Amino acid sequence: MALHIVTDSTCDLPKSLLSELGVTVLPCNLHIGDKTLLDGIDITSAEFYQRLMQGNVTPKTSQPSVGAFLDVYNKIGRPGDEILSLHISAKLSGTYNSAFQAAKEVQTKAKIEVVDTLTVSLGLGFLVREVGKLAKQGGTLKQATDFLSREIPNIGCYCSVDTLDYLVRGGRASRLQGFFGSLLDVKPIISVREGEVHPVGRVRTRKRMLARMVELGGEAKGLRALGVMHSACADEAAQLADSLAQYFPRKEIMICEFTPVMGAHLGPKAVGLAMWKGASR
Amino acid sequence: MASSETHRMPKTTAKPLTHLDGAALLAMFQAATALLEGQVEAVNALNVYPVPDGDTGTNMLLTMRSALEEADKSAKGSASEVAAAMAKGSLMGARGNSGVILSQILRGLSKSVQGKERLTGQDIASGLEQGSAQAYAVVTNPTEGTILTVAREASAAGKAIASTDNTPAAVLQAATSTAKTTVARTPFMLEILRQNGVVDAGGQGLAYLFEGALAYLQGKSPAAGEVRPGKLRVGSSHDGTSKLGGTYGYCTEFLVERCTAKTDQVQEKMLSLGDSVIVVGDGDLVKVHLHTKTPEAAEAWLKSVATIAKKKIDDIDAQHVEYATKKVAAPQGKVGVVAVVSGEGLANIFLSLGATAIVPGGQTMNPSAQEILKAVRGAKQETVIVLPNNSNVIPAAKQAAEMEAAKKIVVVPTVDLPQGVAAMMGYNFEAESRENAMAMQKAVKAVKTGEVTRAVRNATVDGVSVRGGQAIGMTAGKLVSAGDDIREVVGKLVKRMGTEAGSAVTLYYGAAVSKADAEAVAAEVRKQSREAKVEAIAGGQPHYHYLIAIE
Repeated sequence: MALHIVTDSTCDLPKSLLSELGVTVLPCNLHIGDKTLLDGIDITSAEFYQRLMQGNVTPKTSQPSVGAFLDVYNKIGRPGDEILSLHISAKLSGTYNSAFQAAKEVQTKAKIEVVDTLTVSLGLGFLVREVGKLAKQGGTLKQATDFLSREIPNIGCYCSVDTLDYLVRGGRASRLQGFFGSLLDVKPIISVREGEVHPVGRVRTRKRMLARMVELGGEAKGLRALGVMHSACADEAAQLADSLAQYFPRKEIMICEFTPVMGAHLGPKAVGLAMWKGASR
Repeated sequence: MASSETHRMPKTTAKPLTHLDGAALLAMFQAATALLEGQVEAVNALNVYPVPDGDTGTNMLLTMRSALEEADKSAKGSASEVAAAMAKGSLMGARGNSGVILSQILRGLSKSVQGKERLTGQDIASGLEQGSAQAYAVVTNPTEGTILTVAREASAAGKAIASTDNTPAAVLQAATSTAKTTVARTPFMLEILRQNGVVDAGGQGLAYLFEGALAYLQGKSPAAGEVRPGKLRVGSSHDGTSKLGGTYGYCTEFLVERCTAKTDQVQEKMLSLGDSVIVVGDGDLVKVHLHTKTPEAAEAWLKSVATIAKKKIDDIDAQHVEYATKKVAAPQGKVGVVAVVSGEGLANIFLSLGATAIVPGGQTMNPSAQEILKAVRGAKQETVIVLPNNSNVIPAAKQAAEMEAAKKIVVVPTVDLPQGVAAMMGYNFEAESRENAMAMQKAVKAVKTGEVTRAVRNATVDGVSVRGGQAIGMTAGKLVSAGDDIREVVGKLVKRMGTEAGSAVTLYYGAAVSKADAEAVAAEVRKQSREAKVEAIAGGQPHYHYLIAIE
C-alpha cells in the first residue's frame, strides 16, 4: 500500500526534485505549427524562449489527454494503493478535467483523488513538494488531502509580463483585458487567487515592476516558502530574489524558469512570485 | 490524414446507401474531419467558453485526426471495429474540453454499435444518442448551450427520423439541420456567448462534423482541395453552406399572429430565403428568426399567411464590423473615477485606464464643483474618486466632496495631467475605495512632470531671460529652459528632470503640435537619453505644446 503523487508540467518544479520525490509528472502539450511537443520533454525552456524571441511562432497549448492520465493511473495504481493527482487551476486549464474523467473510467483498483489546487506554477509546485514528502514518509491519501484543503488558501501567485500580446492571445486573462487595454505601454501585475486571474496593479517600467514584486513579497507574513519564476530573464529573477532576502532566507528562495506551456501564455521576460503564507507550522 | 479516394464514394444519382460498412464509416469520418479542417479558424474565433483561448477548432481537429490515425489501421474491418478504433484514438488524442467531449461521443457510439458489421440509419441514430449520453455522463457540470446540447438535440432528431427512414443519410440530414439550429440558439442559453455575440465554438465544430459526414453520404464529399477555406466569422452561426454568399445579410425576427400556415411550412419557406432559421409557436403566435439578404421577401410571404405583430431587422454585417472593431472597454469597478482632463487624446488615455467619466477642463478652463458633482452623480458607483489634475481645480473637487450627501467622494489631489495618468496606473477595478485611494496616491509619487509652452511676453524668470513667443520649459514650478527651437527646449528640460536606466519618458503633445513634429522631438530625446524608453503620445491638450512625464 502506497500513496502515489501525480501532477502536471505547469508545477514548474525542477526535474531532479520531482524524481527524488517520486512524483509522476504529466506533460501538457505545446502545439507549434502542426507539431505537438510534450512540455519540458520534447522542448526545453531555453529552446522555447529562444524561438519565441526570434518571433514568428504562435504556440498553442493543451492539457494532457484523458488517455494519457488513464495510462499513468493504470500503470502506477496497484490494488490497495492510493493516488493523489493535483493540478493547475481548472479555470486556467482543462488538465483537471482530463484527470477527473480518467479517474472515473480507470480500471485500476487504486483509490484516486483528483484535486484542483486553484493555483499554478510554483504555487502548485510547493503543494506538490509537500505532499511528495508526505508520501515518501508513508503518509496517507487522507493526510495529503487534509493538508491540501488546509493550505491551498495560503498559496499566492503573482506575475508580470513584459508584453501583453501572449496573455491576450492565450485568452486566460480575458476578463482583465480592459485592465490591460491602454493606449500607453503598460506592464500589468496580476495575481492568481481562488483559481482565477485578478488585477493587482500597473506600472510603466520593469524597474517599478520589480520593486512592486518586492513589496508584494513583503506583504505576506510568516512565509513558509517563496519562489521566483521567470521566462528567459534569469538575471532579473536573481536580482528579485536578492531583494526578497530581507523577508526570507535567500538560500531557500526557489528560482525556476516557467515551463514552455506557461511561457506560451506569458511570453518572454515575464517575472513571477509564488508564496506559501501562514505563521503556523 | 489518410485519403478517402480509395474508398467507394456514393454517387449523387445512386440510391442512398442503406448501410455503412467499416470502410464507408471511415470515409464518412474522414469527410467530416476534412470539412471541420476548412473551418478551424472560424471555430477558434468563436471560442469564449469555458476557457477563452481560441483553440476549440484546433483541439477538435487534432482529436479527430488522432481518431482517424488509429482507425486507419483497422479500415478493412467491420463498422464496429472502425468505431472502436476511432473511440480509442480519440481518447488518447483528445485535446481541450471540446475534444474530450467529442471523444466521449465517439466512445458512446462505439459501445452502441459493438459487434455490428455494418450500420443502418437506426444504428447510427442509436449510436449518436448513446454518444450524447456518454458525453453528459462524464462532464463534471454539464452546461447547456454548449456542444453537449448540440449533441443531444441532433441525436434526438436523428432518432426521430430513423423510424420512418432508416438510411444513414436521412439520419445525418436530420442531425445536421438540428445541429445548425441548436448552434444558432446557443447564445440564448449561455449568457457569456450572448455577451460576446458568438455561438458556442464546440457546438459549431460538432455541427461542421455532421455537415461533412452528411456531404459524404450525399455523394458531395469535398476532396481536400475543395474544402472551403476557413474564414473568420465572429458573431455568426453561419457555416460554409450559407446562402448569403459570404456576407451575413440581416438578422430578421418576426412575431406573427393568426398564422394560417403550419410551422413546418413556415420553416420550409424561411429556409428557402435564408438560414439560421428558427420557428417557434403555432397558430395564434409564431416567432420567426432567420438570417437573410432579403428580409422584405420574408415579410411579404408572412403577411400573406399571418398578421405581423412585431418585426426586428438588424444588419448583421454592420453588427459584425462593430463587434470586430470594438475596443475592449475597461472594466467598471467597485469604485468610480472622475477625472478632469483637457485634450481628447488624454481623455481617451484616462478612459482606457478605467476612468468612469471625464469632466472637460484644466488650466484655462476650471470646471465648477457643480460640473464635477454632475459627473459623480452620473457614475453607477456609490464611491467615486476625483482626480482634479490641476492645482486650480483641487478646491472645486474638495467643495464637490463636501456638497455631496448621497455618495462618497474621495479626492486624490493630482496637480497635473501626468500625475493623473500615474494615479490611474494605481487604480484597480476590483479594489475598494480606501485601497484604491492609497495605491493611486502612491503611484503619483512615481512621476515627474515637465511642461512646455510659449512665453506670452518678454521676461526674466528664475534667472532665465525669455522673449515673447519663445518656447519655455518648466518643471516643479520652475522655468528651466527657453529658446526658439522647441526641440532643444524639450531636450534641456528632460535632461534637467533627469532620467536613468529603465526610465519611461512620455511626451504628450498638444493640439497645436503635429505628430511628425512630436516624433522628431521624441527622436531627439531618445538620442540624449539612450537608457530611457521614450514615447510620443497624442494628448491633444490646449496651452501646453508638450506635457512630459518621466517615470
